[in-house]
Amino acid sequence: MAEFKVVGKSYPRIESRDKVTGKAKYAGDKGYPELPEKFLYGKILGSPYHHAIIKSIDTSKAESLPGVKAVVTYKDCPPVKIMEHEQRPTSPLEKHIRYLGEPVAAVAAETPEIAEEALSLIDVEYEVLPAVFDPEEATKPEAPKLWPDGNIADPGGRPIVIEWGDIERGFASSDVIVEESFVHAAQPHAPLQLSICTAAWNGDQLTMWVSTQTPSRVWLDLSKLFSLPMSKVRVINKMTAGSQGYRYSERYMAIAALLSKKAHAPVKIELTREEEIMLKSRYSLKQYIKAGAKNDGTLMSIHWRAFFDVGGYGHSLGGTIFWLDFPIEYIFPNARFEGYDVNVNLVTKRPFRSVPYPGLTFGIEQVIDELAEKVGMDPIEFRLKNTPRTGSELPTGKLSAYDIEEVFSRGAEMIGWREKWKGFGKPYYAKGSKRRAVGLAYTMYLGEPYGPEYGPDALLTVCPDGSIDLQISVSDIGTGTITAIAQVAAEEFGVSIEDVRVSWGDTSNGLFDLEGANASREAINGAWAVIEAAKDAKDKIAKIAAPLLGVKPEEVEISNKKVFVKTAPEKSIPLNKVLKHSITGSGHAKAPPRGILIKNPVVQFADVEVDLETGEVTLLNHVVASDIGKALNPAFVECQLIGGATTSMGYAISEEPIIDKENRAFLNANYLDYKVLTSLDIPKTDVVIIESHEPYGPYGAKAGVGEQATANAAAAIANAIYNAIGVRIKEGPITPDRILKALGRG
Amino acid sequence: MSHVLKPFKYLRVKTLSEAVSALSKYGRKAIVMAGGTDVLQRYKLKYTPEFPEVIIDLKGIPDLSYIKEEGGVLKIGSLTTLSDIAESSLIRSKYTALAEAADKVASPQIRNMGTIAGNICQDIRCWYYRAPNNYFNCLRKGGAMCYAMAGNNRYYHSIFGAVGGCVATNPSDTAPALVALDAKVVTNKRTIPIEEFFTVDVMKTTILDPDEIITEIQIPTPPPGTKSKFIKHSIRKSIDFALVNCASAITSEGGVVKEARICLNAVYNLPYRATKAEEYLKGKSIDESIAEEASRKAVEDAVPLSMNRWKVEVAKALVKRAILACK
Repeated sequence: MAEFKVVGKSYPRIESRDKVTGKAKYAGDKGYPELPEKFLYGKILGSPYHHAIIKSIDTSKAESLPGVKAVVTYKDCPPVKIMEHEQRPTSPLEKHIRYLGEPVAAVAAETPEIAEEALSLIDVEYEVLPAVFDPEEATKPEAPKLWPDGNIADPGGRPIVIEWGDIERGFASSDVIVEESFVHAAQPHAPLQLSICTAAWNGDQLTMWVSTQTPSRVWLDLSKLFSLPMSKVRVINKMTAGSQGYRYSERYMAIAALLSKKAHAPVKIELTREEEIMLKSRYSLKQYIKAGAKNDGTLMSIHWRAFFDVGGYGHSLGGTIFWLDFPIEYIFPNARFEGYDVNVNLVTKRPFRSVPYPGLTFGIEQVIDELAEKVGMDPIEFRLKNTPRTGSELPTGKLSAYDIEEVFSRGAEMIGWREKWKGFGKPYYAKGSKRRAVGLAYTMYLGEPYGPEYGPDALLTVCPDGSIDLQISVSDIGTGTITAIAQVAAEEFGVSIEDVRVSWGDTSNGLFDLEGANASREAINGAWAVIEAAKDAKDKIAKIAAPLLGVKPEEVEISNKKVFVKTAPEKSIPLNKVLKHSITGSGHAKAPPRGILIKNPVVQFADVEVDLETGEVTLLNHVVASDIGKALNPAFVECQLIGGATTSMGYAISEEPIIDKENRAFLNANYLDYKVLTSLDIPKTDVVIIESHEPYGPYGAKAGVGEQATANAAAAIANAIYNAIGVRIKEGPITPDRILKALGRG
Repeated sequence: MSHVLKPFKYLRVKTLSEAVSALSKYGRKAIVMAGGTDVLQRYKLKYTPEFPEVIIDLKGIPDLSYIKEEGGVLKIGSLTTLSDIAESSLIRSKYTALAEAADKVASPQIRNMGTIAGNICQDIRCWYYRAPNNYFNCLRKGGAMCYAMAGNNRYYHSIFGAVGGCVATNPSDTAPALVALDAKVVTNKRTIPIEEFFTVDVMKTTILDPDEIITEIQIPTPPPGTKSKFIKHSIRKSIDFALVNCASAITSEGGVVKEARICLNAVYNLPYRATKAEEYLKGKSIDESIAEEASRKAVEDAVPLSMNRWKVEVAKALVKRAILACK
């Protein structure tokens, strides 16, 4: 394997010093690039009903309140739908209200107090409609309809079904069968930074300062909404303090632009912490799994049905990619996967770090453990018997580098599996009411970079002195993407990272990045774009340098600010003697060839303590192990894996939105009662990085680092809890009341 | 809803009499504030129908922050912070339950601001009562009904019935420790035994008059052979309110219980003394089965709501542990 000079080293982030000294600016901060100093405050009126039609809306009282500069309702929206990539494209403001808190109207005023008061002066008459909340109930013909064509948001109003073989025959030939149902609560994203944007018009040109992971989606939506050429819309998006996946193009951004246009002044909208918790969330789900295996541990058949609450509108990552890699992570000769994305009268669900995985693994990994227990096999042995390997030909293609055996063995060693695994339902420690046990969960996480149609563009300029200026359309939502990409550019030209300047976060350079920092693959997508742009620039330089070296362009190499002959490196000329002007190359993201599957085998090990008398769960230790391919920056990888697992720990044991549907109230929209775990609740988390070479990734790297640990930490914790107390908990999060109920004590 | 504070007049007084005369002047239009960690929530979340127009900040009053033992009584100034109490070696050694309770409140920052008086005067945590913008005008705000009774009562509600139809619990961590240690609350007007201090009324959790201010907490020095303990159950280990907590103070002589005081909180509108358990323990030698039986008696009168039967189990476990810790 090639040795790298810059890639693979744990460089600190380029922006860290600015962040820790307070110099870094976030959208809405005073001093953010070109942000207007004077602006109006926008506030949004949320629906007080789960499901209603606006019969009439009177804004005259609000408009006449001194200090109010604009009020907008659905009547002010151009007749086009935005967010077209979502399952149900929408207008910024709709007449048909589908969830509690859905935007009904908005006000721009001189102060936030005036804007709030104005909201209370808007008279709305609603026709209240019956509501439905359970995603399975909502698929029934008699359920209240959110949409004329029914509540199933998948294409054609039909569930996504993937099947092969004959499941009934598979069950008939199974020696053991497990049949279970699981439910899991939704999970608000709860990132540090609030949703924030400022919109300003200059004539017919619109600028949006915003915190987003997909500036190009915002760019497209605004140009569509106002029928403007993309060149008249500019989106500025610099530092973002966390996203967890929800910062797409959102309705509040379009509302700010509508208000600003009407008020003839810049308008800033910042959601409150309460709104943030109520209005941004991962979906809840309900699932039924039946699976069978032979006594020798061979999986025979699976029938898996899942109902996802995608809320009023649903989002782009439901639908066709719903099942992702679940059909291939284990080898089932007979299988039927039925996935329902269902519109219900709950907040529109947004993508969230590893999207459907934590809920789905919470089900399937408990079922796999149950099967292993029934056939009397160790959970690791059982999984290794039924999982694919590097080179496996799977229904969707050929599996590339996938060192699952090393992942299991090194992860098990790290948690102390040999000492702590005592069998299913058996703790390794029992004293008084305390029981301690370990558990594990596996999943296959997608590692493919995006192709040029979804990923970023790069323009790489080699300055006359050989230093590098890189313009790129990636977003960095706090993950270190920009630093990793600077490392790639430095590596390509054999220069130090200090010789690279990266410009990003402003669409005025015209570079596009449709999916943005989504699905945890922005650094890898960006790395390909940089490598391609570097190659383009190098080709141009080689053509200039070749005659000077007396060789053909393909014989020229460029490194360390010199051009030289590949076969005779002593024949070299400094770049500053070759270049009389800058040279720019362009590049785009690059997907693997069709039929090649790049995947991460992710295994997590949880070590927990459960108190049988109080139902308390204490997380003692945790291990995330994965074959992630080459780590471009190992420190970032470690941070992402720990952070990803942490997100799933709250999902496992504490985080749950409490909504009183009858009284139409979200009861715990604050961080005291909505229980995100703090640093004191998080156990020591060790990371095992296996770096097998991925031949179709940049430098052997795979995508998906940031999300994969969120995918199955909760499942590992659920299995560990079973091993501690001998009872399975099928409703998550696994809070003390659920444990005591399962033990027959609640 | 926003984070914009409701406007108020801010008075930073320098003496107790200044504070009392300001209270007399403004009556119910004023509220006193020490650490402010709870009071300011009212102004931010606007969960009550009305707001006191004046906040009287007591922090400028010197000499109300102290911990001293005098004539067989521990005296704690009302403005003493929870951090100071948690760290006091005197309290840790002789009034252990109180130090442990103070140490379990919220987070270090809040303990550095929050005071002992504030901790026992804090408002209820029912999520209906605290819903922003006075969304639920419930019984405790003079409204007609308790929404938690038929609604979601999973975490913060009573398992021992309702006072006046309300099932919101007293959330304080230090209150049960003070009850177990038989404390008294001294105000500018009188001295109140801790158990008489709490009440359940519209916008009221204590019996304090509108012009009454706590000046001191007094705890009699426990007789020799006394041990005390505080235990808290919450979902998070850090910065969380108790779902159940329990304090015990047990005096034994020659291995036999002479006197026992056990108090649960966050399980009833008022701190809940487990008198049946206390009576049962008297004259017995504490062991596992005695503690088990006492804890069973402690929750004998439980009448859990639709979603909180599990808290009865937790309460029982905490009582048992608090007893065993005083063995």
